[in-house]
Amino acid sequence: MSKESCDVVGRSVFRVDGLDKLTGKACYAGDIAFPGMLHLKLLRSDRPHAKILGIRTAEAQAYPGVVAVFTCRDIPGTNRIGRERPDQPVLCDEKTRFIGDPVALVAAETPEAAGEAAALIRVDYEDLPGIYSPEEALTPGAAKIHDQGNLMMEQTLLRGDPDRALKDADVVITNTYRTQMVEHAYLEPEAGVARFDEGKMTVWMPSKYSHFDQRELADAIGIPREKVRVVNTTIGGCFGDKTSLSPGYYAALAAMKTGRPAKMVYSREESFIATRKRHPFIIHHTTGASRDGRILAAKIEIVADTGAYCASGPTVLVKSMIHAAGPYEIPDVSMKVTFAYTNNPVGGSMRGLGVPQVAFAHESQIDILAKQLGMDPFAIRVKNGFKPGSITATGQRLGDSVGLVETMAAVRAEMARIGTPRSTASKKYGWGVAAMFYGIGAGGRSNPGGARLEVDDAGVFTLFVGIGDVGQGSSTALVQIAAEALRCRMEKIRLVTGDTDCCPDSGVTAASRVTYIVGRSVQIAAERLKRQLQEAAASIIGAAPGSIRLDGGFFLSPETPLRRVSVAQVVAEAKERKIPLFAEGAFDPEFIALDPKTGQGEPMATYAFATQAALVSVDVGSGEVEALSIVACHDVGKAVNPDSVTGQIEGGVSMGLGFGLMEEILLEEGRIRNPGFRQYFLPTALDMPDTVALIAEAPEATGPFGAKGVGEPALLPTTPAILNAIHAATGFRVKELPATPERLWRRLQERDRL
Amino acid sequence: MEEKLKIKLKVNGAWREVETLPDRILLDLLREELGLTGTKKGCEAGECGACTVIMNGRAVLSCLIPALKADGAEIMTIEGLAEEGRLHPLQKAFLEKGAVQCGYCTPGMLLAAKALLDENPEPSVEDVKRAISGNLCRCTGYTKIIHAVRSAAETLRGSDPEGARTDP
Repeated sequence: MSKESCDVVGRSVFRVDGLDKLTGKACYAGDIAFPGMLHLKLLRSDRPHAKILGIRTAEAQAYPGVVAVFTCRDIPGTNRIGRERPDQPVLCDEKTRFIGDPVALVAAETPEAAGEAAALIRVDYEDLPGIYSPEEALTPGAAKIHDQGNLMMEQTLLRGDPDRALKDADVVITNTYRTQMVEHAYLEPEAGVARFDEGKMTVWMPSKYSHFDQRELADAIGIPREKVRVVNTTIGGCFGDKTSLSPGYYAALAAMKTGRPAKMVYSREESFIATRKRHPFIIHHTTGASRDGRILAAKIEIVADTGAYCASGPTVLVKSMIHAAGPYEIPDVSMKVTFAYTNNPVGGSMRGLGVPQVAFAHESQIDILAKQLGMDPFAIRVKNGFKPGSITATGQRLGDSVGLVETMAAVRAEMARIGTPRSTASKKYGWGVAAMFYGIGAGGRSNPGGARLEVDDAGVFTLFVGIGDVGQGSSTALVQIAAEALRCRMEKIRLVTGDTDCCPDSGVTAASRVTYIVGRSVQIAAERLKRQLQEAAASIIGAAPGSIRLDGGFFLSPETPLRRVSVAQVVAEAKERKIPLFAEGAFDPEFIALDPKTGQGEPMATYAFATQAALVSVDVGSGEVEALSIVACHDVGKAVNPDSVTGQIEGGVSMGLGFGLMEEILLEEGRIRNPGFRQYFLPTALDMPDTVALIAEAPEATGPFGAKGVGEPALLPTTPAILNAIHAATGFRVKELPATPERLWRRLQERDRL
Repeated sequence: MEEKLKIKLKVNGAWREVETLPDRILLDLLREELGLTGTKKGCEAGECGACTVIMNGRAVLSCLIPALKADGAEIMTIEGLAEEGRLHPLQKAFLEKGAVQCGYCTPGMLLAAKALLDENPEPSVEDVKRAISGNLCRCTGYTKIIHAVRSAAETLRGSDPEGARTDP
């Protein structure tokens, strides 16, 4: 790594996509229109679990404006999707497994005609017993949702002998925590547009992983992969969703079958009903500690509802297990994590991948321990918290980039500055604290990033990455990293993202991996291209290649201080010398896969750390909780763009607040009762606390300029910090999310009656 | 087939004549008939604020306004906020303060903020929160948006915006 100080990395430069987004020019998939374009509407199952006996489409087909109606029989491909297990149909064939399962697709001249015709399709169902909880799903004799049974996956972890350690513990606490199903609720509903011209399919869609969507949709609908090009449009938020079986798949199917351009946009209600959700968890958590506050052992059992299909279930399962004991050194740990199929909406990847759920549990546990032991909430966390060289529950020895204790100190100082208002009989105030760690990237498996960098005659660089910016600012960060490595202004770098025809596969925008993994790939590509050009520069300047530096758009050498040559001149020389004018970079962090029985291994190369504190007021009369202040400090290794980092933290705080206090998908026999923002409450500007976002930097040697990640960590400690604050204010411990006013009021009443 | 009706409205300073079906909403008219796709569709139920435009000086949800109601009205969409290629102080402040992430709520947020500043040049934090409380944002947690709106208010009042950075 360069020893020179950073010029671009570490600065809050303006977003590269800012102007387009501020002037209305940014193009989202729903903004695309082609002449003669068809509009699509899916008929979705209104049965949670039913055999399909027949589908009658004649009436719909005859409806004015309808061009075609498709069922599973019209799909020449595998008709199956699913990155980790291809168990989900594009259009249902034998049966439907949740309310919202797609059954038939209408293509029409207008969206209205498509919608009206879809309502005319008649499906003959034979209802099957519905299963709405994971416990029910795993009961012997339960109706099978998939042929192989209802157990999606189970994984165990064992380190040491927790049963013996618990016997030796001075304090042992056991609690059960429940978390709810949550909607991603990005503001842009899913959309996709496809054209099939001269045997080539182009699909425009907001995708967090266009190369994956290219492969999956090609196989599923039955078109050779090389004939499919997926082009990422501006992504109006994703938070883990927006890939696999999105409207682009159906647009491609309709375009392939009719030869006409096709477009599909989900309504908000459809976005609620059809797309994936955060997995609801039931967590049984036992913790044992010594009198002096050392955590000795933990036993954790998790049962989760993975919904009708596998989706990202295995990733969520593994990530939740890796993190379930929290950012603490605990010598003896056992875990069992079980994910079961149900006839509820599909659980998918959502910001934090199962870790927000377990963080609620482990941070409640340590808070309870602190109270029982009479310890300060920071003291117990500092005592047990990870430090450089600590060993995790999976047996991984952490490296040097462990800034947890620093984040605790920073939060504590800021809390003291803010102070605590005095409680009254009706209004109670309290601070709560929570900490977290989060592994960057996929857990226990390869997840390579890739980048390609070219330079043209004018000395302008073009950076190609497969990754799309989901709003978090990755495009800006990647250009900053390239500019830093090339020692040039950001304006000298053009960026092309998410186009499968010209970009390398960079992996998925998920798991907080883009800055660390794709960013490192960009840095490697830049260093390589620089070396290639240095060779050409050396021959012009007449100095040793090793002495050549690139700075401010010029190559120069201390050996010949008066001679400097522009990048454009060097490009001309490189062409003469047949030196390639492009370079590629790839980075796949090291890992050791988890042992299937003991869960031991080194799943991620690096981890982010954070501490947050929440000040809340609780209105005892109404149960209303107001978050007044959040202090958040995150160890991100190196903040490539500090404003983007604090933006992630502030956004994470709002999502964590929603998870803790108000958001919940309400289900009734598999049917979502609140599929819209009128009944599903998202935090508004009025709900937001004053947020102090602080950055700590414990540099990661393998990251680009020391960077790790922050996207998901941002929300993890917020929820438990707020719940711990409610306890500090009222003495009441919430173990079931969300802590809505009604729920809290009821519990406070019950407690006061006793 | 329903009969189309002709209406005339002033959009971003220019009078436009369009034909519309009587059951069309203003949002679809703007996006589809006039090609102004900067106005976003987030829920079509008046719950998210993404489709906010300014109509006769007030911030309105264009998904709740029948297109016919816009006959004779003066409308500003996001495409009309920058004048002659120069960013409005609100747009500039959003850029400088990092108030944009995915961008989908941004047009509606900017117009809700403009309507506020047109009426109240010196809004408090609470005033800003109230004015944008009908505009959902899932990315930013609103913090930087609130800072940006207050910073733009200062610029518009003629004083130096607090903490403004120079472009890198």
